[in-house]
Amino acid sequence: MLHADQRYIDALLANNYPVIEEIYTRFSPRITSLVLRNNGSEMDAADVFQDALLMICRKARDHQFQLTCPMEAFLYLVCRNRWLNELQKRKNRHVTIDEEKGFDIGQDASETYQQFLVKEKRRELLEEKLQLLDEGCRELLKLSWSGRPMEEIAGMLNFTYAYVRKKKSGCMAKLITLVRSSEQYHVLQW
Amino acid sequence: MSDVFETIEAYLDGSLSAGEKRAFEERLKTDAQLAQTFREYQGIESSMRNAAPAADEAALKDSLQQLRKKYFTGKRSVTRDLFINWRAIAALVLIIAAAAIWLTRSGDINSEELYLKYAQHSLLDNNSRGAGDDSLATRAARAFNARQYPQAVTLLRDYLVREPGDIEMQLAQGISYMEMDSLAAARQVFNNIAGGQTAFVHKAQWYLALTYLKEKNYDQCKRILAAIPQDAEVYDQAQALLKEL
Repeated sequence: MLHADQRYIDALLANNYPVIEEIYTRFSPRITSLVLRNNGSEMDAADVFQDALLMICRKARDHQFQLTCPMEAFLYLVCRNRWLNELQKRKNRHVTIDEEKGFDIGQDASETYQQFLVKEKRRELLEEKLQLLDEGCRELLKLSWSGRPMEEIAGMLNFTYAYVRKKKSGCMAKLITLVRSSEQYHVLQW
Repeated sequence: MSDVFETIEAYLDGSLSAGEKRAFEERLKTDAQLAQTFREYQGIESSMRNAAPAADEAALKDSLQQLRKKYFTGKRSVTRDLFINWRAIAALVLIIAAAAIWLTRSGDINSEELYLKYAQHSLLDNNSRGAGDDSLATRAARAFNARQYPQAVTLLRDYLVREPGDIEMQLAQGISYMEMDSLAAARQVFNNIAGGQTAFVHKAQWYLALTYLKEKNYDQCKRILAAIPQDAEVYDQAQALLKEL
């Protein structure tokens, strides 16, 4: 079920400045203190915060994400993970995050975030497998995902409508086979 | 409709007849394997559908940038030791300098704008090929010049099978791939040309750099640009882009 905080996501989508400002007033101090406590600067915190908002907005625009938990907990998890990755990159070794005591993230935010990550990983897996297809398939699939009608794509590629559909389904069959044989399939499966 | 995948595609595309559609939906209920394949097919489609163009993001980025300045002042890390001693002052100066560098550096490289500014492709001229109006070369050149890249790629591919030594057309094919975001394919073409001995070596390097600009890999982009020698015809534009990065 949608959480009332979805209004923050809607504000990002609509570039509604007053409500976006509310995101900063209400949620940025917690992220700043998280980053400062974990070897980062305030500017690092600003980066993490801004990138997280942009990423959330992109996913929402893809219709791949709706908020079903409180915004603060979700944003905290996204930022925490981004900062952890950044630290690991900088230090080139495994690091742990010193969490804020007494901040309850809650079950629903953890679940929402897990689903969010799974979607992200699926997309990565698909991008990777797509590279293994032949150029013709890659081109056709990407065109079909660009939202153009199949008739138009058939015209662009000088194919008939029936042929382009047949070819696309053949490419999808190959892609699905590749995905099924990957190690991550069982974790990410649909 | 023998093939399962073909049926799924036709179903999702809305081109099954009412009867076929009903039959397929019935089968989905009873055939677990088909249902699983259908879920995967649909799942892949919805994962990969492209986002709205990123251009829509410019306004949001502006807002975020403004709010960032307001809410992340950079003060918090120095408030602790604001004693007026030279250490604090030195630290403050360093922080301001760092902030200034940071502000000018991240002065938001907008890779898309830069790309649009620099990715100017010269048109293909077909006269030198002495080709007729309907020849493959002419049709390929026409599609390329009209920026119809998917069509150009197909035509160029057929043309290059016959004329594999036409480097200018190879370059056009690489550019078409790049414009269609098939960056790996584009790089393969540019790398081939850049590794050769023709007059197009530096041009291929230039375009190779643009593929990295396109995916915001600025370091790699800069490395390639910096390697373009002074006597190359693309030297000036390479330097200009380097400066902007």
